[in-house]
Amino acid sequence: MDVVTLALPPSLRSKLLATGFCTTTALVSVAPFQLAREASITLEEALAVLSLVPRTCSDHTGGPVAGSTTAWDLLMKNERGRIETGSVEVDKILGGGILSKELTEICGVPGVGKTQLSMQLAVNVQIPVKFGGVGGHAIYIDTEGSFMMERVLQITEAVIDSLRIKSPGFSAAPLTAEDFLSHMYLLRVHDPLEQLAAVNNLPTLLDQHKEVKLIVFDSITFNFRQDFENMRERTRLLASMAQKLMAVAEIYDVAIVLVNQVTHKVTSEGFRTVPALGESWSHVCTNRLMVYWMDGQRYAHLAKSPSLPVGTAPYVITEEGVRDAHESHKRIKLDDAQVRSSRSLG
Amino acid sequence: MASTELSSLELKDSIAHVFRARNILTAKDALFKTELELVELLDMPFEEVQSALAIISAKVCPPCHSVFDILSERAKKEAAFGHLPTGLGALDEYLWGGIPFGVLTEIVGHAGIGKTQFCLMMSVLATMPEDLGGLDGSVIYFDTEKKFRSGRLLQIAKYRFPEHFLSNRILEQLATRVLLVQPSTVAELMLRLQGLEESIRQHGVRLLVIDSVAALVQSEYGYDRIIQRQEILGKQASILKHLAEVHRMPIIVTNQVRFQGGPGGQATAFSSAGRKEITLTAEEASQEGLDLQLTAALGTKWAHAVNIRLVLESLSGNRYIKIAKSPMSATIAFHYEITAAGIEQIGDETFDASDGGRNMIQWLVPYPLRFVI
Amino acid sequence: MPRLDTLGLPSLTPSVLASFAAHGILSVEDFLVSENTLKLDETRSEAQRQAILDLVDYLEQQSWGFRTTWRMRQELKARGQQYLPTGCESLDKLLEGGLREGTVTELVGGSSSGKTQVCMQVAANVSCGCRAMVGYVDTCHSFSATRLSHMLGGLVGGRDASQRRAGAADEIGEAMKSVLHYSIFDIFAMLSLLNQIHINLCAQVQVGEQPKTLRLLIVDCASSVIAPILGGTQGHALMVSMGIILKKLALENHLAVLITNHTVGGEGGQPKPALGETWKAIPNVRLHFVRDWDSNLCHVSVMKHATMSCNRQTAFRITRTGLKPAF
Repeated sequence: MDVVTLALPPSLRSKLLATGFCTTTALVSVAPFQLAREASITLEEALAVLSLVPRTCSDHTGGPVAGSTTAWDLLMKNERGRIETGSVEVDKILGGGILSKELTEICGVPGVGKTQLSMQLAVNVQIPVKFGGVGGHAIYIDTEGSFMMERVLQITEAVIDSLRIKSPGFSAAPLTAEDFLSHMYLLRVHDPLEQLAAVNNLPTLLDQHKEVKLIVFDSITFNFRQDFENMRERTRLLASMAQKLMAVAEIYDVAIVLVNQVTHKVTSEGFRTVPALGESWSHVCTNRLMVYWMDGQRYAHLAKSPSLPVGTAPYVITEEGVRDAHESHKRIKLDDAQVRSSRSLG
Repeated sequence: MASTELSSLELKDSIAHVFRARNILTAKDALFKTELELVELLDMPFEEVQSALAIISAKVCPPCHSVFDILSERAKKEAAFGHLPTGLGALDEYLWGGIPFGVLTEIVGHAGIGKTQFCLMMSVLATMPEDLGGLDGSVIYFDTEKKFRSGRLLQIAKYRFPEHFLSNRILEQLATRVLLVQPSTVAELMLRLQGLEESIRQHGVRLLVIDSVAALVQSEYGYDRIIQRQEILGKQASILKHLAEVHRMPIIVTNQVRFQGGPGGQATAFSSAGRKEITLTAEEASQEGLDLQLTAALGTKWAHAVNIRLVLESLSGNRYIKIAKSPMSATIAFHYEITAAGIEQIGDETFDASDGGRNMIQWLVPYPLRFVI
Repeated sequence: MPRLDTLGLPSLTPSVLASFAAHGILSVEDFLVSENTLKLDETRSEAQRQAILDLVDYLEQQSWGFRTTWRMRQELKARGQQYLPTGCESLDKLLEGGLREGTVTELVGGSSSGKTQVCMQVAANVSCGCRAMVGYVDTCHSFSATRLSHMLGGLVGGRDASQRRAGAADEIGEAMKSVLHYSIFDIFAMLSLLNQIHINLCAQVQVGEQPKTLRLLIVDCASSVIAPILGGTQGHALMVSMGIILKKLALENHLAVLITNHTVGGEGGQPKPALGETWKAIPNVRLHFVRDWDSNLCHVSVMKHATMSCNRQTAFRITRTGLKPAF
């Protein structure tokens, strides 16, 4: 095992290699003072080096290395709450809703409702636990300027109304729109630099707002689709951003929703709509929800999940927000109006 | 933001010195490298690199406020919660007060349907005092097709607010508050847009109108230069969005229509020099098998940048305004007509105009259209 | 290669070591690469010459890492079972038995092409059928305990109806307790973990066998931790180091190592495995996965194998209880 694998600055590393300390086995048996003398480094540096060296240790689960969780424990701990989308059918294909510690990608053409879904989730995450929700706060990172306050207010009021109707205990201690909107935090990101800084800064934000259970990036791809001459740099930055988000989701136990755009890919059969940012980004999310139009109806399709089968569910967007597809239309259709007016003229 | 100098941040002296020595001078230089790259470049231990990056990120990261705090701020400072009322009942209702601040509102429709009329009316409204539903400010009006008519502007004002515009002097005051710019090239338009910050502050501008975005771009960048065209549009969209957000004002842009589909690709309904031109009536066109589906020009990337899209269309002799894209309302449409006072709604009915995301525009005009194929 | 002073050879006295050090020779590696500086000639003292001879003898006896394949195969035969069946019939047939101990198998494919499903299926089968411990290193939140329990249910439930009810739940629980999950998000944590496993397993070999041994190590997905560091020499070195440790774990600790790799756009729009040319040497077996969404099958083809010809193919279906043959 090479000393190269330890996280050391280059000068320290080359001093160790030059004095024959090429492997971690060589470091295991040496005392700090001795190492400092032999490698011509300070005692502090020697202590830092030795703290990184892996040594034999036991694990309480009987396994080879500490820090593991057995699959059994993971299963037992699995009562993490799920965040509802507003449509029961879509929740079903998601196994109940959006799950924490996972990265869920929502992907679709402009105008299909990705921002609507995101805003709905940012409201729904706050539904208290006793009314079937998760009772957490939300951070909304807006990279395109598509977050509209009026719409969020509209969705919030609709959620409050439906809680009042459906949950008997709600009227006794109701929540107001102010409660909901005070626990939704907005960041407006303007360029890739601010986006990278925001991702780096998430641990600080989450330490300040400990009840956050959902982070939405709307959208994660916009800032990286243009003005990047060096594609390798872009791939590296995206990969690094992805790993940081996964670590945040795991450590802080939050759900992360990433809104992605689509692009057209030329295949042998013609054009195909694929998620933007290519193959190297596609593997990052835990779950992928594709939303699209077909025959005048919106659909959500679960295309990737480690535990759920693929599935499709229709949904609609009404003034109240995201709802199931059997909501009736209350207004006369424009075409019918034409028929009426032409009849009245004729 | 990208030029945030590291020297302005409170990094430890020893660390700041190392960054400088290795030519990492701005936040972008630092954050666009991974931690491993920085450790190798700066020869610093990981923990020190991580803490330096944390400080830099915290400074560059945009502020984080609760939605409630932002709304309260706006309620205190802005009229009608950040909207410019249009006077069209259904529109004001479904847009929660009128044309919203901070975003781009697009007016789409074919020639003669009333886009410029709408823009002129909104210009009048923006200059009105707040107690009459206006923003008491100036307007910068970009007129790329030379369609602006000051006479019509004043007529709308007089008929709409007869008690207010009692004398010619007051009418002239209105005219001085609407600043007309008529760029003749895309380059000139871009230059003007980039220099707007100063003018906005100087003149107390509260509304920006661009009538139209498509004209110059389409004539200078044909289909053979479509990538450059998309780039220019992208830049325009960025500048406009930035201005709208930073100054919290409404921005109205108009857009033309084009035909989508048809044999062999796309046809544009407006001529440009040097291309083949034919004239067909609607019936002839459908007989030729040309699949005439109108949609907004300038493509999906532009469509994406616009938050609200209002489509003006005609069907069976009636004109409708359709809210085709809006985060807060369904796709509804209502009757309107062009009157002396500008644009007015007819009746109270609103219709469901959703068409499953195809975003098509209804049209039936009595006069023949020119095609370029 | 260790330092000379740690070898414990009596003829390597401090004064001899000091004279070697004056020539820049501190470790075995330095000794091996120095050609002319340590000639056995009259300028050397008696003590130095003896030390050099002893050192050369010692090295020949040690034969560091230079074991013959014959000796390796003897060792494998002596240990009995060589293959770990995957639990997916089509794959076992393709691989002529399953995952072979001592080898690194890589699953390559686009997003949601079935790689993680195979990883979980193998984990289920080995923890249950082979009654061994499985290490699952998860870098992209793709492990699902619920899904594992379904697959175990499918395996356990496949036996006799009489046996099924009796201890099925216990068996599933036992198996799940043998699957150890690690969440790793960066390269140094990964290297530290792999090193730690190697050290601990080596130590155990000397102490004595535990009731259940670790026989399978899964890394899903290896490329996630490497992609952020590629682009400089150090990043490349770390990637190579990770590859070497994985191979060491396979060879020296007799594990079957299963890793996943994603694809990137290649020439002419055809996807190719990520991580580049250098990484190609690391896995012994490479399988390519393609998901056919219309028929809901996963197609697997052999890209690299020591004994098999490439382009051998098979397919399987993903069902609720596991991976089933394609018909």
